Amino acid sequence: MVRLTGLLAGLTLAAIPLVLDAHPAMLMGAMLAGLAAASAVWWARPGLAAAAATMGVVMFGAALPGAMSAVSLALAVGLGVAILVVLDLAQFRRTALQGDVAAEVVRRHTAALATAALLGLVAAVLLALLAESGARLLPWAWRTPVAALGGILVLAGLLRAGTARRGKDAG
Amino acid sequence: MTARPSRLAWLAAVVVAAAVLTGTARGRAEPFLAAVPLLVAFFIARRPDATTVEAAEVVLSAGATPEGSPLAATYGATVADAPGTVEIRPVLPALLGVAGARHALREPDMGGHVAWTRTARGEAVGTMELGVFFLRLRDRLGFWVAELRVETSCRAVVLARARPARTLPEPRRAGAPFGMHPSRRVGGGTDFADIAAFGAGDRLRRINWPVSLRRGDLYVNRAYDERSADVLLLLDTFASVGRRPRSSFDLCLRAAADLAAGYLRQHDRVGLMEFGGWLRWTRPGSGPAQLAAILHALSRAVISRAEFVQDLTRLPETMLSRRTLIVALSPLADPRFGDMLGRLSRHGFDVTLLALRADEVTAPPPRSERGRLARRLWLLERESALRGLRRHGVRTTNWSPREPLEVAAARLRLPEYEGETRWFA
Repeated sequence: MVRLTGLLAGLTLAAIPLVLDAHPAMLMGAMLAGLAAASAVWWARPGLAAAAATMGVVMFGAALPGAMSAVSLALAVGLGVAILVVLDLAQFRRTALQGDVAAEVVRRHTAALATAALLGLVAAVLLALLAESGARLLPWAWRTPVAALGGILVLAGLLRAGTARRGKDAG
Repeated sequence: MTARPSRLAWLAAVVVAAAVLTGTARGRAEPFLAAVPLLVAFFIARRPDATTVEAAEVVLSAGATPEGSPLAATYGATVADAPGTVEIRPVLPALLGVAGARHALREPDMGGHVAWTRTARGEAVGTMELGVFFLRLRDRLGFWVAELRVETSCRAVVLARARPARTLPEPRRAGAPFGMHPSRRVGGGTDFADIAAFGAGDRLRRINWPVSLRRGDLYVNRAYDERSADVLLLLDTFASVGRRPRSSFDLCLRAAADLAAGYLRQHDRVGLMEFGGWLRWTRPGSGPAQLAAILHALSRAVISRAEFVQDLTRLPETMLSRRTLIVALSPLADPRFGDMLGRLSRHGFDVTLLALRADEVTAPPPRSERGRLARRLWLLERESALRGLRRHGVRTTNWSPREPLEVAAARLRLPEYEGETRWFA
């Protein structure tokens, strides 16, 4: 089941850039990335999975059309979920290699992965909608202050998370 | 417990960086969106910082097991507030043969308890530490990992599998009554000694009727008395040749167990002495309890290299009696052991040496010309050392690991092996 999911994710990783651009060079690259992703899950190689994911992202960037569209946004979200699945399953199989894994562990891990993928999907869609509406509704003069505010908020959130964890460590 | 980012977290960071670079280079938002699921999964992961290990233990299926028998060890721990799976990774000694899984992934139950039973096989005699294991805690997706080394007090004892040797080196002097060794004294044994005139106290069933009828008077058959012997197994713990569990030390341990079982079966008193950097002694005794004591002592034996050597001839009579047969087991890798045997024999002790052929323990015979020459030189030196010991009155024989111990013991009874030994000195 884990291997099958990984293979499907690898297939998705390879197929997404091809939907945007079916150039022969792109086909070769996509096949290579998909093969690498499937191999990474099959043989439990997280490093290879990361390489395949990076390749998939770069190819996706290269295959992007001139204008932003709903299709490219949806494909980007799908690519993100596929990357998450490939990376996670390769690492999980690596951890479970030569080990005695309880069935409960696999069940809970799969559930957690599905939850994370779903949350990632929702977050990406929300972000895309927010960005799209911002791009359409915000006047040009407001865009820079809003972007700066967003950046400050993100940084503050990261700092807070970091300091809270350090506090826990000290305690 | 301090958590650190796992390998997955770093790999995810690489992919996110690639997405950010691609998005920036292309001036598009889509690659950023592709990185969002990874970032979300990372930020919702619960770090195992607050997790504590409240209890940990290792339980063995048996306190002591014979060599080659399965031994089950159950590793258990109670963890509080674990965010995800718990990995149990035991540290096993090299002398335990393990098949199958090397670690386990477990989900804590309602009480936070995790356990894993692992079966191993003791491949060599010894006392092995099994109480150390690692606990690795991860969040659900494995972005964060925390590791803890757990040390509990748990030792597995692997005992030698004693197969009583049927042929044993014979003592020169018998000891206490009620044994199986014929002594020089005439008494109530079974080995025929001579015929003598009937006297007071002679049993009627011993009367030799044919002789009595010819002579016209009563004559009885007399037999040698049968006595038990005091035997001390002297184990060379100075040096070992080869890698465990097929080293010379292992062969000596197994041989000592077989000899002890063989002697104890014929009602002798058997003791054990480890002679090396440390001198350890198991008091002579008889019966099944003594066999168990010797097997446990063998399981504690270790090679101890040291410059300081005790003089065994100065041990008190209660520890090493002159009537004791000393059966030494050694590969003769350290000359100090042979020197001490010669010294013991010169002081009147009855010493027998089963000299293990160390060259046959390690590897196939050398193929190169130099290797063969070196081996021949080594064998010459060894034979010279054995001849020197024989001159001092030590009964010696070469013991090949390819042949049963009994063959070497039987060789000791051949006349040419008695050589210059001083019988009944």
